[in-house]
Order: sequence, then structure tokens, then C-alpha cells
Amino acid sequence: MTPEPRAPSWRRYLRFWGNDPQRDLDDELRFHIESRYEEFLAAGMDPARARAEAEHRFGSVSSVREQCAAIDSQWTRERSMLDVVHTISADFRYAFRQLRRNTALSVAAILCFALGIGANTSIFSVVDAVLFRPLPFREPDRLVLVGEGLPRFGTENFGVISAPEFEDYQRLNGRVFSSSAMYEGESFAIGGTGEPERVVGLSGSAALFDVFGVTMARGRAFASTDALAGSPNVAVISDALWRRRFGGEAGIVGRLIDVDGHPTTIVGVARPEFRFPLPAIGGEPADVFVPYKMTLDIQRQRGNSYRTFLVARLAPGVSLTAAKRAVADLATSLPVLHPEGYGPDWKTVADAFPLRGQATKDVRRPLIILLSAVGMVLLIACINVSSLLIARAASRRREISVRQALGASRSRLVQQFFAEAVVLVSIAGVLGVAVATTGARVLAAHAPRAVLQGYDVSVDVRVLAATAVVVIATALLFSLVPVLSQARSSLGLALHDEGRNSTAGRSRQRGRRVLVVTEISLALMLAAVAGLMVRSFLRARAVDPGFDPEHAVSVRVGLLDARYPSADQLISFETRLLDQLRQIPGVRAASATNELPMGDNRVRFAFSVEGATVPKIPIASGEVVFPDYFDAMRIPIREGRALNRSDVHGSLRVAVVNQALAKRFFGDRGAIGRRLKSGSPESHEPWLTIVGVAADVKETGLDQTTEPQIYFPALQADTVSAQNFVRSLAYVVRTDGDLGVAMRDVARTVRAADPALPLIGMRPLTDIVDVSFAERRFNTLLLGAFAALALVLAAVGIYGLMAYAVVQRTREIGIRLAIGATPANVLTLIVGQGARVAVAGVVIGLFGCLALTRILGTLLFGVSPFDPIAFGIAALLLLGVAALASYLPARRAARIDPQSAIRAE
Amino acid sequence: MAGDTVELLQGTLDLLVLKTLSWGSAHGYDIARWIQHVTGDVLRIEEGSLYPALHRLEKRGWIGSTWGLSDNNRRAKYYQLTARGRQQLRAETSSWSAFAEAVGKVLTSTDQPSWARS
Repeated sequence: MTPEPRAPSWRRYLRFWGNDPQRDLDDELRFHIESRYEEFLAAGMDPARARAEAEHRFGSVSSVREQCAAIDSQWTRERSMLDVVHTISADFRYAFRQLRRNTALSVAAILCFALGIGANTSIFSVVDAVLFRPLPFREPDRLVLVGEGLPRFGTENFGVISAPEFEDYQRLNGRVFSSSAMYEGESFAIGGTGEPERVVGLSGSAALFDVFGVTMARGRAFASTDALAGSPNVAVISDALWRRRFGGEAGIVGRLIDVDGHPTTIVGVARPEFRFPLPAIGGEPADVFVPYKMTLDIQRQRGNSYRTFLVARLAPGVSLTAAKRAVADLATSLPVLHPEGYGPDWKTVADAFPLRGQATKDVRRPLIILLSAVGMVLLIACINVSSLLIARAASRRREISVRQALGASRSRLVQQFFAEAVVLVSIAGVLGVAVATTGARVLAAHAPRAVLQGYDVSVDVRVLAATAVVVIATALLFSLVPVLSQARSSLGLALHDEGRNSTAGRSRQRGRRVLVVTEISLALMLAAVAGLMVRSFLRARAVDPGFDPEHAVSVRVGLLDARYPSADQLISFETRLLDQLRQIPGVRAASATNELPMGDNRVRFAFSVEGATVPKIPIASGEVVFPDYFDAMRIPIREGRALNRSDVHGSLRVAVVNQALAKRFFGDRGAIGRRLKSGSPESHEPWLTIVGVAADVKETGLDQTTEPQIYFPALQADTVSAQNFVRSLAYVVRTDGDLGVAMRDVARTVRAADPALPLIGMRPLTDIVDVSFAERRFNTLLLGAFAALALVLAAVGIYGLMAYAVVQRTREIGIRLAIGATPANVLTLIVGQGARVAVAGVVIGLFGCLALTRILGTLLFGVSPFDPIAFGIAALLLLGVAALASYLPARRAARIDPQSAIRAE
Repeated sequence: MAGDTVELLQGTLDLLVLKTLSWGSAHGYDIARWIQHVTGDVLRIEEGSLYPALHRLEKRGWIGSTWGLSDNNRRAKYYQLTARGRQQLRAETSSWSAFAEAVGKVLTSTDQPSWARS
């Protein structure tokens, strides 16, 4: 017996060894003892002694057997593991060979997936950052925001409280909240070193950073003494500002800077990941945090100023429900405890909301819709590749049958297909992630501020893990389909009649057709949704904003408290500056307002009309405007007059209202001369006489409804409120000349008036309209892109199906042509077949749309969710694509040469 | 019988088995007998303990096995050296020789250690 010393050959021994190693072992040991026994016999020992001696010399059989069995079974385990590894690696090698052999198909499939996975991962990186990833605070799920509402002014919760009420809410600390803090969004002009600049700010109570459970990267957070009147001004700055403005300087703590003209000491730098506020709960992430300083003025404004956020951390063991109840109870007691702060018989309600939910309530739906849409694209890609693979599986039917005949089990075949799928999807996954990293960056750069500001959008481990899950699920899904489609093909049949009958693979074709129909219906739904979005976009775009955004520039100029301490000084500077702006050559009109239409800081307040009894106190949007405002904005005056230079302190208190307000309270005519005031009917505000009715302006966005609106003359406004309103003004300069030149002239004029004033957001007025559109445009663009991708994928799917059908039916078509069918007949036959599939898909898709488009809700503007035009265009588009995709193979079919077709195979 | 035998050093059984198999394939009984024969029955091994060693060596890939028929027409498991086993044998042989030589030097040395001289 020659030894065969190649190591891997143990696999062969395995078979010799048989499947009963236990018995083999017994045989082996018995052989030894028997041989010894026979030797002793041969040497003349008597049998009994020979046996005893043989057994004695062997030692304990059971112990030896045990030891050997242990060694063997361990070995077997290792070997079977090796065996699996070996099989798998063979499968993968085979898979690579298969994929290389069908380069075109593989490339098509990989591209389909790479795009699908890339788009999914990009969108998911955004969705994850905004909706799912834990916020960078300690136990962020325990953070709540408390907001109040006044049922008298409608049922909505303001989402904020009134600053003096914070003291009342602190009674809940220890019982309901472990800590709580208040804050308000601010805007600060900072200076001291370098150019003066305007930054986003926040003023918060001492415990703010403790509530979030964050520590400082440098220095300290607020101390409770920082907020006391007369204590030195201190600020915490963001990591971003520290790096940007101070170059990451190590000795930053203790530096003196200028905040709104007040010398302020930097006491701390926040950690890089601490970005707060988030959109919808206080605005953009702040760069400068200062302690909130309560003033007597603020103390008095209980029931008529709601602008303070209250963030709290739930005490251990306290549920959200319990907290909701506690704040509601507390709110009810407020008007009782502080009757002077609220109107008579006012009721206050309050509610607590999870921080994350409150921050994302407006963007959750669009994001989920985008994610679903992109998921649908991936599903279409999946179906497409499944369909391609089924076609290939059909051409490999013979191979599969042979392998089955040789003993490959069904599960073994699935494993093989899965290996191919994994290889395909992994390559696509890597490409997809590459697409996604770019995609996430582009999305983060172009997404509207309101969605992403403050979130860290990146393709990180979480996102990659999610992608991996999608990739594996995808691979599983479409590796099963070809095998299942194989299920009905009986073995013998496949072996001997491959390709021999002209209607081969009818049932398999049916399976593919179902897939393509599904694909078309999904693509139709996406196309219809995109169509609705585009039509909404166009509708909204076409809305008259109520002012003329062309030929005008706007800029915000922040005034510094310290330089203009009194309201009179403010107003006189403003008036002087406006006069200087008007003298710029080409300028037709110049004016200013506290907030332009579509701005972020529109002021809304309650108002009362003299003599009108209303069940609920109405809310209006208010603007404090300088003379010429209506000329500068080109807002038509429908009735009466505009506000002018004679509306100053001492003269009759006047206001201009918009048409919506006039119509609601005074009918078509008769607003002029009537009086209204801010606040409830019982408030002590002065009555204002309406002197004019202005055309409606879309003050919150083109796609929003118009609210009642009141314009107050800036020169007449109350000293206190003037100071509050006028701290930073938006200037509007209308010019005949070039906008670029105008912007330079305006900047020069402001600098000449006071070089220390920061200029913010100098831009054409058209920009403010565009910005209000950003979110809609973003959603529309993305959905449109996904729909386009879906269309392309659907086209590929139909093309694949029809091309394959033509190849399968070559013989049949040859016969048809031979017995007299014209090429036109064949063309009709094939295109008709494709059309049937497309129509089925479109019809199913339309039904799907009926169920689906309702969820778009407020994303739509001016179109019904069942808009026949959007649906019709989507349907026609898909039918057209389907016709084209089946025309190409049909033309090939029509050109088949009957003779060679029949002889073929 | 018991008085003139020596206990086998730990691990040396493997070496003996490998060496035995270097002559050609053999079953366990042959191996046991051959070792006893060559050593003149001085190295008394409990014959059963040979088998765990054989199985361990096979698991390590140093020896392989096949089932065959013995001289007396019984089904017997034959072991043979693999290429790796052969390498192992060479390596162990030289380290064993070095070890044996070193021990021999100590035992046969006539030099006295320094502390014993005085």
C-alpha cells in the first residue's frame, strides 16, 4: 500500500471511513486484541490465559475508546466546518465565473443596484440623522419641550411659553423634571476682533447645559450668578465659531469680545457635537450662548408674549403622560396665581412634547415619503435584476437539471444562486456606498435649512449597517426568485426537450411578466407622485406673492443697543439712512420693515376689532414699516392710503390692513375709518384707525394661505415695542438700475452711515421668494429624480422581457412568417404583447395611486391628490416607454429570416 | 517482567510511531509489536495507549489511514506517514538527538562542577 500523503485527501478517507466512525473504532481496537490473542495461542498458551494476557497488555479498552472518540469527533467538527468554507468559496468562485461570462448582464444588474443602493443610502443618511440617530445629549429621549396655548385664540399649542412663567414651571423640578431650562433664539452682532458679524445666538437660563447633560470642551458653562443683574456679561461659544472666528486659539477662555456692543467674557467653548437649537425649536444652531437676563419689562409680559422655549429633563421614573398631566395642571393655575398677567377669564393650557418629535414634526412626513420613494426605486431595481436572472436561469436550465441529476439538492442550488446574488449585490453595494457618500454630501449642502440644520449628515457605521441589511435582504430576495421559478420545471423534461418546443417557458414567462407588471405599477406610482409634486411646484410658483420681487434688493442691518440706546436715536438713524439710500442714483424707493414677507421671524399677535364680537380672538401677522414701504415693495393699495411721513407720534394712531382682514371683518367696503387694537378686547393697547387696505401678500410662503395682516407705522410705534422691533431692520431698495450695482451702492451707503453695523444677507428680493420655496423644490427635485430612475429601470425591465420573448419565440415567428404573416403582423404581435403587460401595470399602478397619493397631504399645493393630469401624464409616459422598449425587440422579430429561424436549434 | 522496563517519556510515543511508519504503512498491532521488538521489550507501553496517539497524529495530518485486509484476512486500519508527518519526523528526530546527546553529555561527563572540586 503506497501512502498518499497529500493533506487535503482526507476528504477521500471520509468516504472509506463510512458513516459510522464509532464502529470503525471498535473494529480497530478489537483487531488489535484479537491479533495479540491469536499470537499467544500460536505460541501455545491456553485460550483463557491468552485472552486475559492480551486484554491485560492492551489496558482499559473503554478508556482508550473514549479518548479516541473524543479526538475523532472534535476532528469531524473541524472538518465539517472546513467543508462548508470550502463549498462556499467554491460557490463564490463559480459565481464570479458566471458573472464574468455574462458581462453585459452583470454590468446592467450591478448598475441598477448601485444606483438603487446609492440613492437609498444617501436618503437614509439624511433620514437617520434627522429622525433616528440619538441626539448628542445625555439620554435624549428623556428631554421634553413644554408649550402653552390659549384656547381663546384657537386650539393650537404655541410650542413655547411666556418667559415669566418659567419661574412657575420650576416648581415641577424634582417632582416631574430633574431639571429644566428656558431659552430664546437670538441674533447677535459680535465684534471686538475682526469684522463685525451677525451670528445666531441663544439666551438661556443657567441650567441649560445641565439639562442636556453636556459638558464644555473648554472653560465652564453658565453659573447661576451669571444671570443676576449687574453681574459681568459672559458667553459660551460654539466649537464652530471658536474655530472659524478665533482660529481654534487655546487661550480663548477669558477673552473679551463684543456682543451687541456689550463687552462680554468668553467663559466656555461647547463640544463640537453640541449643536442647538434645532430647526423648529428655536432656529438654527447658535454660535453664541448668553445667560438669560430677566428684566422688569419681560416680567410684566405674561399673557401677551409667547416666545420662550422650555426644555426639561424628565425625572427618573416619570412618564411622558405623567409630565403632560403635571404641566397641564400647572398651566391651569397660572391665571389664578397671576391674575394681573392674563386677561380676565383666560384659560391657559400646556402640554409636553418629546424634544426630537417637536423638532422634526414638520419634516418627518416629507422625509418618510422620500425614503419610501427611494425604497420603491430599489424594489424596482430588485425586480428588474430578478427578471434578468430568471431569463438567465432559463438559459441555464440544462445546467441546473444536470446538476440536479448529479445529486445537487434544491438547497444546494439556492446556495449557489445566493452566492451569485451576494457577489452581484456586494459589488453594487460598494459602488452604491461610493455614490452615497457623494450623495449625502450633496444632499446636506442643498437641503433646505429647515430640514438639516443642526444635524450631522454622514454615511457612518449605522447607515452602512442599514445598507448591509438592505443588500443582504436584496440578495436573498432575488436569488430565491430564479430558483422558485425553476420549481415547476421537472427534471427529465428540461433535460431532453430544452429549446425544442416553440412555446417553451410559458409558465416561466408568466412569472417574469408578473414581475414586470409589478415594476411598471410601482414606476407609475412614483411617476404620478412626482407629477403631483411638479404640478404643485408650478402652481405654487405661479402664485402672485402680492409684491413685486423684481428690481429690488434687500438687506438686514442690525443696530447695536449700546450705540443707539434710545428708541428716538434708533428711529432718527433709520430715517437718516433711508434718506441716504433714496439718494443713490437709480433708486426709486427705499423703505424698511421689521420682517419681510416669508421671513423666519414674522410676528403674530392677537388683535381685536372695535364692535366685533368673535368667539375666538383672531390672530394677525404684523409688520412695523417705515414710510414708502408699499412703494418699495410694490404692494398695491386697494382702498384708502398708504402709511406716510405724517404718521408720527402725536398724530392719529393709524394702521393699514390687508384685504383678507378687511374682507373678514368689514365686508367688501367700509374698512376705512374702523378701529382695531392689538391684544384682547380688554387690553389697554391704544385703538388704531384703519386708513388703508393693502393687497394680500403671501407673508409666510407662496404655498401658504393668507392670514389677516396689520401694518403699523414705525414712526408711531410705542417706544418699548419699537425698540424690540427695530433692533434689526430689513431694508428694501427698489432700483431701475443693475441689481449688482445697487447692492454695492447700498452696502457703501450703510457703511458710510455707521461702519460698525453688520450687514446681513444682502440679496435680490427674488431670493426671499426662492428661499421660501427651497423645501418644496428640494422634495420635488428628489421625487422627480427617483421617478425618472424608476422609468429607466422599468424600461429596462420591459425591454428585457420582450427581447427574451422574441428570442424564445424565434421559431414560432419564423413559422408565422413562412406561412404568410407580414413583418407588420409580427411587429403588432410583439408590441401588442408588451402593451398588454404595460397596460396591466398601469391599471394596477393607478389603483395604487388612489391609495397612495393621499399621504402626500400638505406636500401638495393647488392640485387634488387624484389630479387627472398628473395621473394621465404618468400613465402616458409609462405606456410610451413600454411601447418603445418593446418596439426594439419587435423590430428585430419582424426581420427574422424564416428559413434560418426554423432551421435554428 | 515489570522490573526491567522503563516508562515512556511524555511525547516520545508520537516520535516512535512516526519513525515506525517511516518504514511503510502498518496497522496499530504491527506498530506496537515492532516497537517492542526493536527495543527488546524494554520500552513497555500499555498497548491501548497507542491508539489515542494514532488518532491524534491523524487529526494533525501527520499520518493518514486506510482500511485494508490484514495477513489473517481481517479488516484492519492501516496507517501511513503523510508528507507533513515525514517533515515532522525529521524535525523531531534531530531535536530528540540533540536532547539525547545533551543529556548523555551530562551523564557521562567526567568534569566535576566547580563547587564539588574543593
